[in-house]
Amino acid sequence: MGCCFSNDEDKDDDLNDPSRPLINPISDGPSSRPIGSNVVDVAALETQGVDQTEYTDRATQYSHNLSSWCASTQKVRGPPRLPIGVATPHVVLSGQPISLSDIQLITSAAQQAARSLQEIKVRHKEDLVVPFGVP
Amino acid sequence: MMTQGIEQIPDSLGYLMLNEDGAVIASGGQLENGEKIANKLMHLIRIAIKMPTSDERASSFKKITVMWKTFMYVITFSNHRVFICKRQTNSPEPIAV
Amino acid sequence: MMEKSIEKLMDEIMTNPGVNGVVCTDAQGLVVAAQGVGRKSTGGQMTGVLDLARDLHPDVKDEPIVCIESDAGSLLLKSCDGITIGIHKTNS
Repeated sequence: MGCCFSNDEDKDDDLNDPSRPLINPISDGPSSRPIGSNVVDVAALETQGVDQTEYTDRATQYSHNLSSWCASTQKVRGPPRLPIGVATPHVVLSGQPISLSDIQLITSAAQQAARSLQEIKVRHKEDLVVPFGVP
Repeated sequence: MMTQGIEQIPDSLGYLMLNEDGAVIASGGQLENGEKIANKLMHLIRIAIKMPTSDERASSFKKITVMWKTFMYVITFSNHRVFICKRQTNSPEPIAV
Repeated sequence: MMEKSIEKLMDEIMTNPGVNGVVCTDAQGLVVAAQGVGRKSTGGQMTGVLDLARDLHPDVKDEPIVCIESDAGSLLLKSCDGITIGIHKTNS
């Protein structure tokens, strides 16, 4: 355990604890211990290098924790479910699709609406800014 | 029968049966191996099924029709499957332009 | 000749048998006028569905009609010159 950090202090024997912060302001700055809980002495900090192996191990563990947490949640993502639908799809598919009167209704409605909306298009008639009193 | 008889619809030009994810389970006629049109139709279906057709919130869904002058797609759902039939529009020139 | 106003047209459509809602949007999906069940419609969905329908066969020049049906009622959709009309019909 912790052979890479064999020169570290005894209390860091839980090096592989993934919840341990990468830097520890209090243990790294023993001289400032009384105020250590309030102040982070950045200059005195010495980062404990995370070697490649530990980095990979932690990444694996974090993603494992994340995926197990995601799996336990109820929320299902993805597209909405299909409607329950019908018992005999071929009967529905071979039936009368849209009645003739409905086709005529929607077609003439669309044409008339297009015509009446063309009427309310903005038409340029006169200048918006009228200069007056200008010689 | 797996396709529930949709290959025997009168005036049919082709058919598709998709699963809930839009993957083609069965196909025939003009829609044989119609992966591309299946994707487009699935996109349309996902919007259409969210649209309110009436005052009642939970009315059961029946079908979607996309109709042009000469042909149409009729779409319905059954048992977690999407059934699509491409049919001829053979009513006597219904759309006056 | 003065064309009839869009509101008057909506009133007229509402008098058709079975019609319980109507909605009209501009090309951007902005609702211009709505009555009855049509007030619940989302204009963007209407134009979106018709855009996707047109995209199924971009080579076909006539405007498709889309009809969405449930047991309780149906919604008919069609565009013309950039505007879109949706008509709700009840089955009861």
